[in-house]
Amino acid sequence: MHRDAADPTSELTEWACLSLPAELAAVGAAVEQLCRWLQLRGIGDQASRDDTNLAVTEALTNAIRHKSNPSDRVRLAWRWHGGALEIEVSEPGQFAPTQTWAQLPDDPLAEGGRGGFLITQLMDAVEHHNESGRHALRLNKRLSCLPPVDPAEAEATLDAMTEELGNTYETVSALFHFARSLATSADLRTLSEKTFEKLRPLAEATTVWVRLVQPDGALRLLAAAGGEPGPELILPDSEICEASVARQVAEQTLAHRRELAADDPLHAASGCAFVCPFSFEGHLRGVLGVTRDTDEEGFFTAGQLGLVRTLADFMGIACGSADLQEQRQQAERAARELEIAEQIQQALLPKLIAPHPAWVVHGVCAQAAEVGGDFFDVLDLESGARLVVIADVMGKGVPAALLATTLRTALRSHAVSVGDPGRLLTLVNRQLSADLQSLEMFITAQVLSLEAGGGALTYANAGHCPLLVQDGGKPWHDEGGLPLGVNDDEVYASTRLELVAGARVLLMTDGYLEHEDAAGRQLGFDGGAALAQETLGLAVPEVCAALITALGRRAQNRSSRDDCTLVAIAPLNPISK
Amino acid sequence: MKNVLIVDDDTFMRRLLQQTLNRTGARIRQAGSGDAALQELAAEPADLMIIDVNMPGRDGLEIVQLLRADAAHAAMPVIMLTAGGLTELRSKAAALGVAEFFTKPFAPSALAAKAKEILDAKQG
Repeated sequence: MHRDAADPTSELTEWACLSLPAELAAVGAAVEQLCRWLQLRGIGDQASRDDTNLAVTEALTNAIRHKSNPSDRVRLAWRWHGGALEIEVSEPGQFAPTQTWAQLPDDPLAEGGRGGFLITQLMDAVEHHNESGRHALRLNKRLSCLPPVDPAEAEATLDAMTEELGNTYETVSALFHFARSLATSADLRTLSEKTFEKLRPLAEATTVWVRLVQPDGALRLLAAAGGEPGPELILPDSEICEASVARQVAEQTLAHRRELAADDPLHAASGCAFVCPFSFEGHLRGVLGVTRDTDEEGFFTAGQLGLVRTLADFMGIACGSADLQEQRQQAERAARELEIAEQIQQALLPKLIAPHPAWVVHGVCAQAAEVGGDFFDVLDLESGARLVVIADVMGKGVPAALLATTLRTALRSHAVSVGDPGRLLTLVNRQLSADLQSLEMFITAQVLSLEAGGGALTYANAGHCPLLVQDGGKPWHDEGGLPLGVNDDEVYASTRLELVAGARVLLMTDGYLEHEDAAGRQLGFDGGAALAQETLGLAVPEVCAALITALGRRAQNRSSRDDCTLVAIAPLNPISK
Repeated sequence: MKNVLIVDDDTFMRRLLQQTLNRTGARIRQAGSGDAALQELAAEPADLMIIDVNMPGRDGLEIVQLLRADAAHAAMPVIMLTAGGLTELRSKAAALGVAEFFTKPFAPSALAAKAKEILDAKQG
C-alpha cells in the first residue's frame, strides 16, 4: 500500500489519497485508515463512520472486481470539505452503471449485486465519472464535526488534568499517611498531631482542630495546629457554629466567615471555614474543623473537603478503637483485681486447723466467679476455748477482701483479752463502725466460743445467717443483732447452747441458703437443713465438701453468683442429757 | 541553573513530574525511555535524575546500573519511582546508591521537597 498525501496534520480540505493493489485483501486496511483519519479529527460519530466504512468497502470491492489487469491499482481519496466528507474510489477503465445499479437484485438469493444499493443508501450523493481512462465513483456524505481544538485551550486543559492528577496523588498519599497514623498512634491526641501537619498544607488551611463530645454533650478541644482554635469548651446549647454542627450532626460549610455572628469563635473578617462532625457506630464523637484566614484562595476544593471528611472518619474510628482499648484494659484490671481478691481471701482462711481435745472443726470457702468477702477463722484462746468466726463482707472484689482482712485483724486482736462472743462483736463493731459507715458498707458475722471442756458453746450473731444445730431439736438459732457497721452502739448478746451426743453445728454464709438450683430456686432454710441432714453419716471433715458437691449437683454445675463458706463443728465430749 | 532529567515512558507522568519539579526552580528535561535518557545524559549531564523503574526496553534499574559504571554519571543523584514497593527492588536500588525511592502514587509535594533538598545540597 502506498500513501500519497495523508499527512494527519494537513488541512482538512486537502485530499488524502491511498493507492492500493487491486486485491480484496487490501480493502480492510485502506478503509480502516480512512475511518481512523475521521476519528482523529472528530469527524462523524461512530454510527456514521460505520456507514462510511461499509459504503467505501463496497465501492473498493466493486472497483477491484472491475479491474482489467492484475497489476491495476485502485485509488481511494477523500477530503473534508464544506461540512461533508468527499470520497473518490477510482480504477483504470470505464464503467457505465446500469439503471438497476442502485437497486436490490430481483433474486433475493443472488450472491452479489447489492453494492450499488448499499452505497446509495448509506451516502448522501453518489456519482459515476469516466475520465482520462479511469472510472471514478464519487461519494458525498454530510457528517458532523467537533469544533476545532484550540491548542492553547487543550494545553490548559491538560495542565488542569495534570494538576488534578497531582492533587489526587497528594490525596492518596495523605490517606496512606492517615491510615498509617491511625495504626501507629497510641491515642487520639497523637493521631491528631501526626495528621494535622499533613492536612494543613493540603487543605491550604490556616488552622485545623478537633473537639471531642463530653458526657454532658459539651465539645472539649483535644488538639489544634496552625492557629487559634477558639475556646477550650463549647457548651451543647450554645448558638455558635460548632455546637450547631454537633447538635444536628451535619457538616457546615462557611464560604465567608464574616457572615457568622460576631460572637462566634469562627467569625473573622475574611476567609472560610468547614466543620465536620464525626461518629462511631452512630454516636457523635466530635467535630473536626478547618479554617482559612484569607479570601484569596476562595473556598476549599471538593478534594480538600473530601480529605477533611476522610480524616474525620478516621477520628471516629480512632474513638471507637480507644473505647475498645479502654474496655479491654478495664477487663484486664478486673481480672487482676479478681486475682488479688482471691489471693487475699485465701490468705485469710486458716491454712490448717489444729486438732482440739474437745471439738472437731472443719471449714471450706467455695469462691464464686466474683470473689466476695466471705471468710472464716479459728482461734484457740489461752483459756482452752476455741473461737470460731464466720463473716461476710458486703460487696465483691478487692474492697470486700480488704475489709475482711481488717475484720479478721480486729477480731484477733480483741480475742486475746475478750473471749465472750457478744462482747467481742460489740468491741469490734465500735472499732469498725465509723469506717464502715463512711464506706457505706457493713459486715455480717457470727462468733462461736467452743468451751474448753466440750459439749457447750456460746455464740453471738451480728446480722449473719442463723446457726444450724443438728441435734434433733430446733434447727435454726437466729438470736443476734444488727450487722457490724450499722449502729455504733449495738450491744451483741451471747447465747449458750449445750450439745448432745451426735450433734452437729453448721455455720454458713448466705451463699449456702441463697444458692440457686438450675431453675433459679433458692435452697432456703428448709432445703439447707434437709441437705445438711443428709451429711450426718459423714465424718466432720467430709461434711463441708459433701455439701458443696451437693450444691453443684443441684445447680447442674452452673457457676454460683456468691461465695459459699461452710464450717462444720462437732463436740467430742457431748453433754449427756 | 541546575537541571533535572525525568525518565518515564508515561507521557502524563512526565507532565506531572515536570509540573511538580517546576517548584524546585531547576531546568527540567524529559526522556521517554531508558535509551533516550542515556542519549540525553551523553549530551548533557544532569544534577538529578528521576527515573521510573518499570519501562519497556531497559528498565530504570538497568539504566542506573549502566550510569554507575560510567565515571561521568557515577555520582549523579537518582530518585526512583515504582508502582509497587517491592523490598527486593528497594534493596537493589539502595545498592546502586539511589537517593530515594517513591512508590506511585507518591505525594508530589514530598517528591519536590526531596528533589530540592538534593539539588540544594549539590555543590556548584
